[in-house]
Amino acid sequence: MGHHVLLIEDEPNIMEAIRFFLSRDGWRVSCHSDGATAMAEIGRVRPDVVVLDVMLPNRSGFDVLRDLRADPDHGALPVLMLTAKGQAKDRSRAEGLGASDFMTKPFSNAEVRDKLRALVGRVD
Amino acid sequence: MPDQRDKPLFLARQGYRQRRVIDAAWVLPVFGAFLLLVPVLWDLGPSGSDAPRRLAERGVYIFGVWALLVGGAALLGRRLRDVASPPADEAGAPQGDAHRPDPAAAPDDGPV
Amino acid sequence: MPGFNLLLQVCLAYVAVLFAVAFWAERRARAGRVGWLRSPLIYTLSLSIYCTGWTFYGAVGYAARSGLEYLCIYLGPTLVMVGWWVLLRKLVRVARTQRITSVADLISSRYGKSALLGGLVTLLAVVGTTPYIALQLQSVTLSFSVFAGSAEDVWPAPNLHATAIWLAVGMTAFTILFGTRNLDANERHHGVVTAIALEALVKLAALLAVGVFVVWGAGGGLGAMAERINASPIAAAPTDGSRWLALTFLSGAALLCLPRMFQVLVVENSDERHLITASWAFPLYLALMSLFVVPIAVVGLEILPASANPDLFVVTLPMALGQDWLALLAFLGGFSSATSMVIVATIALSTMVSNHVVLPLWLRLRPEGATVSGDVREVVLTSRRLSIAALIGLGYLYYRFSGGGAALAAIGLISFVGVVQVLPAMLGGLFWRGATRVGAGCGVGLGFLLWLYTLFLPSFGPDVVFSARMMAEGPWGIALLRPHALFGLDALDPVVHAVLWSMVLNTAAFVTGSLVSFPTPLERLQGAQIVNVFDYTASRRGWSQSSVEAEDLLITAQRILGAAEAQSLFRAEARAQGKVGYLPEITPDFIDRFERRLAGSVGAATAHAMTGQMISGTAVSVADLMAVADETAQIKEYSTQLEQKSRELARTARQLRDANEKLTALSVQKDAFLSQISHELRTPMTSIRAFSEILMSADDLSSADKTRYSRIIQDEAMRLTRLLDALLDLNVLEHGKVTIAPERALLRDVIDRAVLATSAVNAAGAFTIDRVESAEGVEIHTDLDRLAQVFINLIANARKYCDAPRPRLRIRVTRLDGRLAVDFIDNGHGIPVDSQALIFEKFSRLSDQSAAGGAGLGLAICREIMAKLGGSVTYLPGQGGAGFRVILPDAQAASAA
Repeated sequence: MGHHVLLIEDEPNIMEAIRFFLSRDGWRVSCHSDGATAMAEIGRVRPDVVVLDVMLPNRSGFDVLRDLRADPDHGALPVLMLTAKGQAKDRSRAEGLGASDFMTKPFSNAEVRDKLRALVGRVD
Repeated sequence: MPDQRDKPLFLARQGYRQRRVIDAAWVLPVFGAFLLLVPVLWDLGPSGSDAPRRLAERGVYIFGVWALLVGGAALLGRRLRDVASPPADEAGAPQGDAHRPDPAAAPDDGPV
Repeated sequence: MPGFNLLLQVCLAYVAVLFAVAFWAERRARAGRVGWLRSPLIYTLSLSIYCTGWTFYGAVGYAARSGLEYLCIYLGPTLVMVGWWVLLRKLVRVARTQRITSVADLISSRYGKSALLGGLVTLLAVVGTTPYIALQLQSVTLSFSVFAGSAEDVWPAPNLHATAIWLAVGMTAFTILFGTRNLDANERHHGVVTAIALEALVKLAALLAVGVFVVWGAGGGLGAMAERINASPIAAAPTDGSRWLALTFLSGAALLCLPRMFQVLVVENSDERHLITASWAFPLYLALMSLFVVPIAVVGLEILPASANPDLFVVTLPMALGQDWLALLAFLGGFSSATSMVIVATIALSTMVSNHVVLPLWLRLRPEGATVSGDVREVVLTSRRLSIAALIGLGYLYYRFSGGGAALAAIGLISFVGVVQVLPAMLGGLFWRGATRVGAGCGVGLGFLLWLYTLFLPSFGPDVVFSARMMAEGPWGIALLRPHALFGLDALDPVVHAVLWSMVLNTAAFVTGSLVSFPTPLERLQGAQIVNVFDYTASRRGWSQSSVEAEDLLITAQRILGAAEAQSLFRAEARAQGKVGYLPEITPDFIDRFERRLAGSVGAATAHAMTGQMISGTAVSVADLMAVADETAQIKEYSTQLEQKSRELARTARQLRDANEKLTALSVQKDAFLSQISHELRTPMTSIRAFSEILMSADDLSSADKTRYSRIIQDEAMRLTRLLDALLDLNVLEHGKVTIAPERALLRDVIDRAVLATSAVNAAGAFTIDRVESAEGVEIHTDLDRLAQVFINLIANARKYCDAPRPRLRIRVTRLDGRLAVDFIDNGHGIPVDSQALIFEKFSRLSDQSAAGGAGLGLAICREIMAKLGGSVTYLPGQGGAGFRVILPDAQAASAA
C-alpha cells in the first residue's frame, strides 16, 4: 500500500504533473487548490506527507503551514514546501515556521519523489 | 520529527529558564520584604503589652529568614552571572523588551 | 588594665599599618598589578563602611533600649542588596556609562547636567553628614574615655578633646593623602579601599570575638543564653510596628543615598559582576555583625551597673569580665568603624563640594572661562583637600558644641532621614522618563526643608533653635504646624513622623513638578539614556558644529587631567582616526568622549559648562533633535534662536528621512517586482519541465495522454511568450520611446474592433455587451492600435472575471468637461476598496484562480498606454460592479457626427 500525499497547489498544470508522476510510482495523491479545503479534508484524508505551494489564493502557503503546525492531530506531519519565487527569505521563513523541506520551482520530478520518500521514511 | 524542529525548541527552553531566573531575581526581595516585615504584626493589638516576649525565638526567626535570603541570593547570583552582560561591550538587555540602538549613531557623521 | 600609653601605642601602630597597607596597594595598582585589589571580596568588604562606629557601639545600646529593632538598620540594606537585579544593577550601569562621581553628580547629570540641582544635593549631603562625622568622633572619644576612666594614670578631661582633635587631624591626613591622589574621582582609590577592607575584617573579628566570648564564655552556651535573653528586661519592650516599617525603609534607602555608600557601592565599583557576589556576601556580613548584639546587650544589662552606658557595652563588658585584650580588640573594631566611615564620607563629600559648589562658582567668577590661563587641576585638587579638612573640622565643631548629649543612634537616624530625601529624584530619574529638573528640585528642596523642620532642628533640644513653647504649641500658636506633630499627627514617633511627611510630600512635589514642567532637550536626552541604559550602547552626542581647535581642547584637557593622561587620550583618539600625532579630528563623537572624561574629574555639569564654553556651536545636534523629534513642536518653547535652529535642523532631518524612506520603498518595490517576475516565469517553466520529464521517461503513455501533455507544454510555452511580450511592452512604454501614430477614426469602430477581438475569451459563457452606438459616433484622433489594446484589455478582463450569473458589460461614452470618457462597467462583484489603488500596479493580479492565465500586467500596460496617449484610465467605484473609465486625449477629440 503506497503512502498518501496531500498536495496543495493552485496551478492546475503543475498539480496534474505531480499527481501523475507520483501516482505512477504507487503513491496515493489527494489534490486541493487552496489551503482552506485542504485543511477541512485533512482529517478524512489522513495523509502521510504534505506538499504545499507558497503562492496560494486567499491564504498563502505560510499561513496554511502555520495552521497545520498548530493542529493537535496533524501538527507533526512532514511538509515539503514549493515556491516559484526563489528567494532565500522564503526558505528561511518556511524553515522558521517548521517546514520539513523546501524546493524551488521548476523542480525535477525525481527530486520531488526522493524528498518525499525521505520525509515519509523518517516518520516510519 | 525532523531535527530542524528540535533545535529552536531547545534554544527556547534555555531562554525560558533564563527569563524565569530573572523573574526570581525580582521576586526574591519582595518575598524577603514580606518575611522581614512580619515583626510589624508581632505586638499589634491591645493584649499583653508588658508580658515578656520570646525574644530569643524571634531573633532565630529573623536570622533564619536572613540566612534564607543570603542562600537564595547566592544561588540566583550563580545563574544570573551568565545573564548579566559585561559592562563594556554591547548592552544586550536581557529583558526582551530591548529595542536596538539607532544605527545612525555611528561615529564620525561629522557636523551636520 | 591597658593604660593610656599602651592604648595610644596600639592606636598608632594600627594607624601605621593602615597607612602602610594603603601605600602598598596604591603602589601595586600603579604598577598595574591590580589583581585581587579589584576582587569581589574587596568590593564586598569595602561596603562594610555602612557599619560605622554608631553600628559598632550603638547597636548594643539600641538593643538594650528597644530589643530587636536595631536589626531594621541592617534588614533594609539586605533587601536592597538581595534585590540588586532590580535597582543596583541599573544604578551601577548608569554610573559607569555616564562616569558619575557622586550622588549629587547623578542627580545633576540625569536632570540635564544641572549645576543648581547638584549644589542642592551637595548642601543636603553636607548638612546630613556633618552630624554623622561628629558622631564618629564622639564614639571613638567615648571609648577612649572608658580606658581613661579605668586606668590608673591621671587622664584629665581636656585630654578627651585633644584626643578628638588628634583623631580628626589624623583622619584628615589619611584622607587627603589617599583620597585626592587622582583627580579623576571616577578612578578607583585602591589605597583607601584596601585599607577599608582591612578595617572591615578587624571590626567583624572584634565583634564576633566579643560575641563568642559573651555567649560561650560568660553566657553559658546557646541554650542558657536563649533563656537569659527571654528573661531579660529587653524582652519586655514591645515591637513598634510603625518604627519597624519606617526604619527598614529608611535604612534600605540610605544604602542608595548615603554619599559614602554611593562612593563604595557605585563609584568604586570596577566590575558590575562584583555586585553578584556582594548581593549575598554583604547581607551575610551584616548578619554576622548583628548576630551577637542582643546577647552582648543582655549580659551587659545583667552584669554591669545600671549607670553604665549601654552604647559602650562592647568595650566595657569584656573589661568588666577581665578580658583586657578583648576589650582592646573591641576598641580597635570601633576605631576602625569610625575612621573608615569618616574617610570615605569625606572623600565623597569633598568630590561633591569641589565639583558642584567650588568649580561652578570658580568658572562663573572667571569671565575668560576655562580656556584661558589658570590650572584647573590645581583648583580642583586644592578645593577637594580643603573640603576634606573643612568637613572634618565641621564635624569636630558639631561634636564640641552639641556636647555629645544625644544617644548615638538618634543622630544616626536623623542623618539617614536627611540624605534619603534624594531617593524620589534618584529612583524617578532611573525609571521614569518624565521626571524633570523642576520636579527633582521641588522634591529634594521640599524634603530638605521638611527634614530640617520636623527632625534636624528640633534635634538640638528645646530652646536651642526652636523654643520649647514652639515645639509644644506650634509656631505662632498654630497647632497644626507643630514640628513633631505636623497636621495633627501627634501620636507618631518623631522619626516615623519625619519619614512619613518628608517622603510623602517630597515624592508628591517631585511628581507634580515633573508633570507640570517641560524638560530641556539635554534633560530629555539624559533621561532617555539613563532610563534606557540597557538599550543604549553608544552614547548620543551632545555637541556639534564645533569651531574649536583640537589644540584648545588639548590645552584644557591637560589642565584638568594632567599632561600625560590628556596626551594619551588625544593620541589614542588620533590613532583611532588614522592620524599621526596628538591632534585628532574634532568629531562630535570625540567631543562627547572628551566631555565624559572631564566629567569623571569635575562632574557632569561642570564638564558640560566647560566644553560648552569652548565650543561655540549649538548645544543640540541633529541626531539629538531626531531623538526628541516626536515632540519637535514643543521645543519651540526655548529661546527664539534655538527655536529657529531647531526648526531648520528638523526640516533637514525630515527631508533626509523622507528621502531615505523613498529609497527604501523603491528598493522594496524592486525586490517585490523581481520576486514576482521570478514567480511568473518559473510557474509555466515548472509545468513544462515536469511534463517533458514525464514524456521522456514514460513509454507506456497512451497517445491521448501524450497529446494532452504536449498541449500543456505548448500552452505553457505560449504563456511564457505572452508574459515576456507583455514585460517588454511595458518596459518600452515605461522607459523607451514609443512611437505614437495618430489616425482619425470613429470611436465606434475602435470599440467594434475590441469587442470582436475579445469574443474568443471565455467564449463558452454567455456574455452580453450593452452599448449605445449613437453616442459612439465621435471622431477621434489618436493611436488607434494602442487605444484598441486598452479597450481589449478591459473587455477581456470583464469576460474573465465578471462573476455574475448573467454577466453583462455596459460600455458608455460620455463627455466630461469637454473631454470624451468611455466607461466599461460590468455587473460582477467589482473590486474591493482596498485593492482599487493596487490594480494598476505590476503583477497586482488579485488572488483569484481564473486569473492564473494572466500575469497581472494588463492594467499596468493600459495605464502606461493612456499616459503616453495623453489620457488616463482609472477605476470607477460605486457602479455596482467593476467599472473602468478611460478618458481620451483632449485635443484630438473632435466632434464629427
